[in-house]
Amino acid sequence: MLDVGRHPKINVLAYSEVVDFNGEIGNFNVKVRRKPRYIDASRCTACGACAEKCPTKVPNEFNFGFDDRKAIYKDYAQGIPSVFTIDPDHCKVILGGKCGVCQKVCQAKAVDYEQKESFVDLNVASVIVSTGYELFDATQIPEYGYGRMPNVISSLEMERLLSAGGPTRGHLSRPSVIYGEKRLKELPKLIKKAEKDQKEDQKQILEQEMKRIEEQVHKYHTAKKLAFIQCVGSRDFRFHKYCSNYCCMHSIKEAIIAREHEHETESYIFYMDLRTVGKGFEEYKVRGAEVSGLKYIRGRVAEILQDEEMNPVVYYEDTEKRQVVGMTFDMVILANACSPSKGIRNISELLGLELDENQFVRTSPNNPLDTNVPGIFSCGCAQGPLDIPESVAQASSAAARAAEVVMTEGLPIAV
Amino acid sequence: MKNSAQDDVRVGVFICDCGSNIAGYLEMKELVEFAKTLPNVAFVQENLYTCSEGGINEIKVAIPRENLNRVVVASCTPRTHEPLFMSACEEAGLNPYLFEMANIRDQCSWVHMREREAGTNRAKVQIAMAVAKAAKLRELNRIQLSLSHRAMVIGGGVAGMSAALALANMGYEVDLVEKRDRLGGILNDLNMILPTHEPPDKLVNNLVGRLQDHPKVAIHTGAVVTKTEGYVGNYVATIQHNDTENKIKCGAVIVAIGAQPLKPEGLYNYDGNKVITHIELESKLKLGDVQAKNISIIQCVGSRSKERTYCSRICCMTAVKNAILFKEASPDTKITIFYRDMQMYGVENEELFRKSKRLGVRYVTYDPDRPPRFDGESVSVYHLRMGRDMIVPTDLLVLSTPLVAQDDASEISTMLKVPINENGFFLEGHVKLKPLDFATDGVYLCGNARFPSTIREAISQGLGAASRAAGVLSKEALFTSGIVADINPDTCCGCLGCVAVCPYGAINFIENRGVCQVNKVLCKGCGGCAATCPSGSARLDGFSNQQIYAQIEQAMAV
Amino acid sequence: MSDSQFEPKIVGFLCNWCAYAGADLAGVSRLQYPPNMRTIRTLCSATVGPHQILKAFQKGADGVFVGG
Repeated sequence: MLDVGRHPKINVLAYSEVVDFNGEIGNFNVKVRRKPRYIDASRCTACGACAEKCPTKVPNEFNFGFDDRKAIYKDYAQGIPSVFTIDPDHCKVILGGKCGVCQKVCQAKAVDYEQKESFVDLNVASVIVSTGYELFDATQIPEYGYGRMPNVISSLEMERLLSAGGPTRGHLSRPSVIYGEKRLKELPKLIKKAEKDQKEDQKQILEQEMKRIEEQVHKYHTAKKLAFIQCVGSRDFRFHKYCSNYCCMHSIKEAIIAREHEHETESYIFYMDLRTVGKGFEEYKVRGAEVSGLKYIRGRVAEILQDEEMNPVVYYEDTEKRQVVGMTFDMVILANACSPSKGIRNISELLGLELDENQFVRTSPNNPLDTNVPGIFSCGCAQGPLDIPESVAQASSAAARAAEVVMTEGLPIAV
Repeated sequence: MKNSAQDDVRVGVFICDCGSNIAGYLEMKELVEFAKTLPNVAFVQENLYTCSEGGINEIKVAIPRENLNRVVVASCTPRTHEPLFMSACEEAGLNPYLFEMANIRDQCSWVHMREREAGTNRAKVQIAMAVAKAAKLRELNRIQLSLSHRAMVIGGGVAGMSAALALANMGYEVDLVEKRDRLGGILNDLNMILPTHEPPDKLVNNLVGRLQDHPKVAIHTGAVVTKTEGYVGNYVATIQHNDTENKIKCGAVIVAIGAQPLKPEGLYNYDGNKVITHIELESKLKLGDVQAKNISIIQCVGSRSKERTYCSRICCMTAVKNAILFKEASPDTKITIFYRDMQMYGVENEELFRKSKRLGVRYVTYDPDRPPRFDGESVSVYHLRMGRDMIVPTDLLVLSTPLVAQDDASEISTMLKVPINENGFFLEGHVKLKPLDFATDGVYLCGNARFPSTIREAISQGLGAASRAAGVLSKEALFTSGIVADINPDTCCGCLGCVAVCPYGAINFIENRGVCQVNKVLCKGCGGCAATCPSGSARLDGFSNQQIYAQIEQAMAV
Repeated sequence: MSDSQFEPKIVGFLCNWCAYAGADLAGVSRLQYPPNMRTIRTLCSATVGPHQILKAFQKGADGVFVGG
């Protein structure tokens, strides 16, 4: 990412979207809308003084709401381009209120509340569509309880919990505890208010809640017994029939890292087929069992319930032991399917791209980068689920196809 | 002990406030006064933002005015801002390698925000260290080299052919070297490809036709590369064809030598007749020479085992493919696939898997600790779901064996100085981030030589390797980095310690002189050789012992 | 000298590509740690030879940290 940001021949248009598109191979005209950041990117040094002083807190979507960010923010420290952005939906000034703190503290004079959107016109010979994927929304599977039970989380939420730069600094706290701790900070104020308003009933309810959460937080701070559930939304006729390719390895990786963070962690991976097809993957899986004590259970999970202490209870059929079993865990991590991105419909209409029946960009086995439009190529999860090495390799491949077009000055190449 | 000032060294120190990011937490005045007391320091200036246009300009003005010949900036971090300050020096006529940075923000003011005095003290030390190192810096130069814009692709399978065609289409001359007498690689041995439902000849002929017609492509079939000399941009390869040898120059090499199916000697009474591999099955199918009614297929024969730990990625889909083709040709054929995990990853494969089930292919899981047995008449296996043995009459047993490395993989690895892994597959520069590169510049990788892959993946990787190679070929000239290792030939004893540790294959042993020599084009400046060299002959310019010692002394002196 | 007064001097050799980047990130994330380390940036931890480590001890370092 840093290399891309620094490369003299790469012009990064972040926080921008394609709004108009026409032309043909060798000569495409693209109109790009640059959303206002309300920051002069050429002045911002990303020092962060603004975010430190900004008084407006917003749930941090990058960390899936496990913590808060400010209304002037940067997704994460290493992000490129390295500039801050004002969130117009929450900034008091943009919403017409009073504040202006960030402008006052910014010594680089980069804050500009009046900034307007702008448009860039590009003329290019070739286009690569690499719009990626979206995480399957697991609330669509009610029997897994995602969204209702705090300790059932998605694979990417797990990723944030394990990250040293994440909301828990890499400590595997149970989400019920994270939310509980947040609530504990609010409760004393609410209790005081109830006291002041002389609402005795309400005060009692709040006090009970506080007691309950305190117990919870103390008793179950760290998640030590984990269940990983594969094929959530994939290989499922109700949702995606396809296999999402990378989730088996992703779960194994997360389970191994969880064990590295906390040595007592015990992980169970529930799977249909454990697909370890990449270079070194099978070896990694075996090492996961031998070194990190992972347990692989062949069986599809039927249902997840929750006991009084917010522990998820996983019901499954162990097909190798031929019995239906219920097992209690501290936390359940769902291996959400790789869903096509919602924005791809819009992009495909603009660019005239054909999508396949799954809403991925259609390519063909013998021309794996080519779309139906000559000169437009596609790579990565925009054309179907792929793991990192394959995506990186494919990105180079798409670059090769595009280079063929650019270097022959747009002369169509027989495919 | 302080270093005595070197007369000819004049260091300019620029100390950045970074708005309040540094100035808010450290005593800037103290830092400025301190810097003035350091040996060799001729000029000190504080800037609000040294990286701003104004700050850069002040550096450029001060260099000639104060007659500075070293510049130190104390500010954020060299990882983001060193290039900017180095070019400022260069623009002012100072060799950019006479620049040094002290990190007093990211690793000082920001991490000691509540310890003003101690933080200021650490900043002083870091500045003193930078100044001491700066005094020892020498002018370094980036050497410019010419290069050949031609590429050589070793291996004429689908990956190699795709790579060659892509490079030719980009306008580069390509030599495509294939050891067999025809292009096509392992595709030539296959019967049919799914999901396209095409005979492989169609794909092969299409690619071969376009390569043959392409004016930029030279095809060498029945030929092997026997020798390569040189380095990125400037290779000389010897291609042997029958008794003639040909030398060609090229700037980049793509390794696409493929892999071969394992012959399962000694497993399941393998005889090549009643018990065969998929590749043998496909040759038979091509001739229409299969009459079996009860076919059993066993997965993971010779793979995912102690002896061969990896999963070969493509055998499951090969088995499913052949099962589908059998079922489509004669729906009465009974087909049973014994498997551990069906590796039908992704969209297309899973679709084929479903299709095979619709057609009535039977799947039976087996436990690797209790593998299937074959007695010549039937396969028996412990059925995990039923909890007892099951017996499947079998008149043809097909073994899904993995792809294994080519016999000449290790030879080619030695010749190009690029590594292979324990299974003989070529080892890429980084498993995730550089899947088609080697650590050594100028050599690239694709297809089954890297790891078993589908046709779709092989084509994609071929194009990808071409793109990586084009990154070199498209350059007008190559530049070495200024910070590279150097070996003093007068003191080098030729122990080869440095050759062994260099990850980039950048050190050569010059036999007739008995010394090692750094290829400055390939050197990435890691300094492993310098740390290893027992005689101190290897030195990393810019991070030499003398320079580091100067830093250490100051680290302790303040 | 009691423990509370002892302020060790630590020489840290940090690889530009990982540990040095990590130390920068600590700053960007405003993680606070005691100011006892003096950083020497190297282009790889492999470049840190025994001579350099011994030199640091010889000059009075209380600890040497090699991060790579």
